[in-house]
Amino acid sequence: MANIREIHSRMKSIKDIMKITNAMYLISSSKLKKARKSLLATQPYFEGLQSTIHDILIRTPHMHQVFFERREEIKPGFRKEGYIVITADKGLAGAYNHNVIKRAEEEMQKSKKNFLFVIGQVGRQYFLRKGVEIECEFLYTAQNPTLYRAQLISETIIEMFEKGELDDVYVIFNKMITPMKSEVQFRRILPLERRKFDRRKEGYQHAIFEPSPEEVMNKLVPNYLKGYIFGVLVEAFSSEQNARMTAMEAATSSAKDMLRELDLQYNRARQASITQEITEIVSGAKSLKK
Amino acid sequence: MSKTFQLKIVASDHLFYEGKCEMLVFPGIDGEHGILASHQPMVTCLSAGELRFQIDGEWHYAAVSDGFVEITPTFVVLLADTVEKPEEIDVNRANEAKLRAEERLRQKQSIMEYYHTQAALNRAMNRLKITKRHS
Repeated sequence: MANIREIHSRMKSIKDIMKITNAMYLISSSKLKKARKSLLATQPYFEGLQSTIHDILIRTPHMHQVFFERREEIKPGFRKEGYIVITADKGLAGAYNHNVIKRAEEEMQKSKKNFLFVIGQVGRQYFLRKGVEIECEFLYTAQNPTLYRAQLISETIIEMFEKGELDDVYVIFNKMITPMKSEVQFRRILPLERRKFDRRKEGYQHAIFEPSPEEVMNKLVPNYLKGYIFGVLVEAFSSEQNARMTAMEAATSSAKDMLRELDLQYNRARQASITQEITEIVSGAKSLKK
Repeated sequence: MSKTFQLKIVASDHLFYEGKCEMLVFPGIDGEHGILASHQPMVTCLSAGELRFQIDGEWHYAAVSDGFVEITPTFVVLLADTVEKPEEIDVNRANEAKLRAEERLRQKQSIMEYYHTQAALNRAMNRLKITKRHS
């Protein structure tokens, strides 16, 4: 039978941790409400952006433009791959960070030259500890995404891509499919894919570009990337809050389960010690009588 | 009644307008563009400025910043970072932004920073202009 005091101190520590998890649950649920509101507000833009770009790319005449350069002469394995990995700033969010990091590591096996752009403290600390080289000046938080931050990120990426320091750029982030389920997404953002085959099939006509295709693309692509990254950041933030909320809810409820069990054990131990004391007193009194 | 086309104006933080429209005038990189129904397919960019669109003979105004427009004969999609009605604009904030940008322009900056500041100044002045014109 476990010691009464031992059980008591264990219960106390569980209660203390439960206070933390419960508080974090409340915080993340209120943050989630905010994040979801901004997600809902951004969604029409994000979706419109993708379908419009898709449409525009179908109508784009052939041109030599840096954003379409596939650089096929560079063999796989030697390409300079850039990964934008979006993690959270804090842990305690279930598998949220783990999933993204695992996926990033899988992808990084494919090439020798990897450039990591990590958003969020958890991912940055993880890769630093593992000794993986990451872009040091790329310091952005995952909290409360803004268009301005998205712009800074997309500018860095575009500049490196134009200089040839990157051949492919991908984003890895968590997307909330339903409130109960989120999935890791892996998307290529540069170079842009032109769907030549779709175009011929559907008989699309080329659109005119004012003032010239090159000039329009020069403005449009950075703008598109900015919007895309913003959308991804909002999506990831909302997914993070959701993951943390469910994780903390699960932690609180399992803490409650443990407490219930320990309570039972505690009562049993207490009862046993009382019974023992009574037996001792009774047998003591009996021996005195004799 | 004149011919109409489907217009969709989306800002990065909300859907600004979706519905029928008779005429749309927006600021492009090389000046203003006017769009009527059955326009030929076109793709172009927006720059910060004043956006006007006509519904049932009535003009509506808005301040836009960077973005792009996809035009087809039947519909127009306009995507911009921000789209605001004149009455939604915060004049004090725009004024502050303008002062801040002017202050920064006087200092030495990298080319990138210079472009940023100039764009910020442009946006602020555009907001102020539109509130002045439509209030």
